[in-house]
Amino acid sequence: MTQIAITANRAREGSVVYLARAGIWSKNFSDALVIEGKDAADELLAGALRDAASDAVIGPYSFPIKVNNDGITVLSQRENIRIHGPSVQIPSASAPARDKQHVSI
Amino acid sequence: MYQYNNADHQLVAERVEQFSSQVQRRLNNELSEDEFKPLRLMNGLYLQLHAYMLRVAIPYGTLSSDQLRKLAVIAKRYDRGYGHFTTRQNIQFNWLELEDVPNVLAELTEVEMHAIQTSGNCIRNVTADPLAGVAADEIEDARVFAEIVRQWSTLHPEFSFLPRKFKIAVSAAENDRALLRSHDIALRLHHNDAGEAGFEVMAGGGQGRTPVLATTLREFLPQAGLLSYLEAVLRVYNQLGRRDNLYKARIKILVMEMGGPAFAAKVEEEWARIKDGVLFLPEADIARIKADFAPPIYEGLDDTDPALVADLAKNQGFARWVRSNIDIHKQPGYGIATISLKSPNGIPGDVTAEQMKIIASIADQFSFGEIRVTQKQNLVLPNVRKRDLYAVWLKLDKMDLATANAGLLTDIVACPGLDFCNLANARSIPLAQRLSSRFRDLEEQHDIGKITLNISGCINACAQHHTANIGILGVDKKGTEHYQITLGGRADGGDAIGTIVGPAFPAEEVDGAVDIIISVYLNLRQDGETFIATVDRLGLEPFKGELYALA
Repeated sequence: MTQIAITANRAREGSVVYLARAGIWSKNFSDALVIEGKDAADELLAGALRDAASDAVIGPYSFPIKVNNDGITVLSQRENIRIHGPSVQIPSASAPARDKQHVSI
Repeated sequence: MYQYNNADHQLVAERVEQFSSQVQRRLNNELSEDEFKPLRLMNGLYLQLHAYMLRVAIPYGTLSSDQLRKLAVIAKRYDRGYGHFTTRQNIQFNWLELEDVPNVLAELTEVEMHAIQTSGNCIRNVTADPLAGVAADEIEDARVFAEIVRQWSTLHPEFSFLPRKFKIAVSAAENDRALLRSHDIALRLHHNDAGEAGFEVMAGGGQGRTPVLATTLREFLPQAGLLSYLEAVLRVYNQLGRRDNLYKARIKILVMEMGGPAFAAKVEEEWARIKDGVLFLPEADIARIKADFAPPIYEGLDDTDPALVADLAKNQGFARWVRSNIDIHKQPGYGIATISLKSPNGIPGDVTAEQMKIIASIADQFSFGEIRVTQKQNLVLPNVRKRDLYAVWLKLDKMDLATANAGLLTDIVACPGLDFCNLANARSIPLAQRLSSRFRDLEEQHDIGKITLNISGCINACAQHHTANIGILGVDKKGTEHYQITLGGRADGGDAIGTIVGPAFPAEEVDGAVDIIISVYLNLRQDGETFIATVDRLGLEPFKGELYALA
């Protein structure tokens, strides 16, 4: 069965967010809603696009994931980099000053 | 260097005010992303994988120490403490928040900087020979003409919505350090038979999925015709360039489809109409800009400095750095020092705020407060007395900025790749890091000699891999990163586009492939022969044979 998660960028910070439940976006991939089945996927993606239309997030899209006993596996390198940040140590990595975990709309 | 006049100050201040209001409206949800996107792109603000990215213009790659210090402040205050110098002499900040961008732009205006025309389908920030004004092989200071082009192209109303982006480069030296033939328009100042200085005008070059070397439209353009001729080229492109297909919209496609002579004829026709009009460039105007680039007051020195000779004898590491990182200055007793931003395992082009501050203070003390940004993602101190080179080297070395690899194998050009960029298929930076670590032995690198190795994370070719001696292109093969290798490219005046050696290598094999290429070269080179000369002499076969021996 196809499993997907939905991601976007937050309009204010540009940061990566995941759809946690309808209308709620989280910066943590661990909060991402695992969506199974085409109907559920279509419905939630439509909701995400409405969130984009109301300008909370930018460019939502879905990507495939695999859930097994070890947890969630993300196959795409691009999506792994979006989840974990750059695969390289940036010169002087420090946490951004403002870091709100959740945004509700 | 050029100082803003009232018109420049007013222009950037008004732009900051305008964009601040647009950002505020976006934050208040009064502008949708669709409405806001073209506005932010006009101000150099992209949305990348993880965050907004601001590209700041550094016209013709010239920075004052005050400007570099301001970039350090911005990196520290609004970003994550570093900046990334690009292959087009600009700097990018990767981690900005939208609400901070107006403040960043306002701070930039304090040092006469901005992000206008660093994105979008307009004439982009003009680039030039990074050693302009100081190189021994130059005819004139290319920045004078680059500045004239900058003034003409800034907010040019007719060319704000071109079919596609448009890049202009200027050089006025014997050697090409500005990648001229990779540009939409390139200007090369030279003397004609009568001894007058004018431009060879080239057009239709570019990298990307269709790499093309620019074709010469005109062998000699008098200086007075500079702006009118550019206007004529842009006008023909603006009218005839394709807008139906993003991939066929650059001027290179138009020039190829029309043919160089037919395109040039069309330009000449338009130029004949306008060359004596308002864009005629009088000598007095050129002289006025020349005065802005008056050389600093150099000391009268002997070219050979006894202190330098002694320092070279006592320190091998310093001697090696001088051999690779110092270019010949036109003023006796001075040298041009390249600050390598390619330390082993480092990220090409990245500089921390602390490093920026130190470089600015070294520039103040030893180089008339001036710094250059190169197309190779390095910095340059353009005016260092030879007797001061050792002191400069010691200071740079302390900050991990004295790697003696300029022009050598680990002077790798790499785009941000999949770690940051929305367009990339594969990572560039980790590969650059692995290669810079693998070949970190400087003695070995100096033995290998002059070579260029560029890594692009996708076919847009921001790292200009097509014209590198060894070009590496990241491709996606069924969801995994692979790297295609080209050999024989060059962008040194004898420009050529590299040829693909064969099937792409998986990520874990590409380092070994580079190793094989270097071994083949070392085994087959003749005395004094550079890598590219060996490739030109022997072709690709010996390299292919070894690379795919087990396939």
